[in-house]
Amino acid sequence: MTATFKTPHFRTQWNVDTAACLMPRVNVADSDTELSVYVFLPGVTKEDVTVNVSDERVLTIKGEKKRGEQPEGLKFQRKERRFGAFKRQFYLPKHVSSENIGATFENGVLTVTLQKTQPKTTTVEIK
Amino acid sequence: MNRFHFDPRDMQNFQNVAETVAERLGDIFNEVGRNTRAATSEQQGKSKIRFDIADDGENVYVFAELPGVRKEDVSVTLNDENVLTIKGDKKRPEADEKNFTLVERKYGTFSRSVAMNEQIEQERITAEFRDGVLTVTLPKLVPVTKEFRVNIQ
Repeated sequence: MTATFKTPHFRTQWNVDTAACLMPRVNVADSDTELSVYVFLPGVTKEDVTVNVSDERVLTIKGEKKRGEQPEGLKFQRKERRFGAFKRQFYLPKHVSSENIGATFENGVLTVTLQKTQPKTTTVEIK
Repeated sequence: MNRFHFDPRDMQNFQNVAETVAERLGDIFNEVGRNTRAATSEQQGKSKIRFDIADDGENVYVFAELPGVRKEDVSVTLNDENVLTIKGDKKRPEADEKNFTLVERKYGTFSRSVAMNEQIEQERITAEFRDGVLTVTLPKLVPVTKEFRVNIQ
């Protein structure tokens, strides 16, 4: 079951197979030349995330959030953090190139940089 | 029709919703905001920090999710009333000139406090920041038992 949700510039493809609490939160900044997608993934390491763009121009960010190294024999008083597989998908807007996509990971934030393309107008000469 | 068939994943979602509700209720009773209503309104419009709190007998560990926050923008304090406060500022990644078209996680200041159940050895508290998760290690105060043996004559 996949639903689509429309934001003015960036359409999200909601996946019901990712639990809502594991759905990474995303901020998108729009500048003249590029679109920066900030995906908040606290506790996730670079090795556990993949970013790809399909032929249908769907940007997919997926991976797994693991507990990682922790002292042994922990008894939890409070558990608010969620762990497991996550996935989030977006349709690339028309004015964004599906090539030259950059990605960096720092302090639990994945930054995906998408280049904007200049709108092409072809003038047809009338003979 | 397809929409209403039973899917085990829906159950998972239901469980998550139930857990979230339980969490929020837990917050009302455990959170240090003495005035519950004030604490709730303070959280509105701010990103809530998710906490895991654990105990291994020797130390209490607080794991706080702070993605995109820099080490120098966070402060960790423990007051006289044994209340741990993690607060700071989540700054925008770059200059404000960028126009944010989608904001699911707000930028700005955040603060969350939690009362420690155990007495803590304040001088030995340590904190480490890795991959957007702050781990605070709070060594428990070992009560010094003074025993004085009385000779029976």
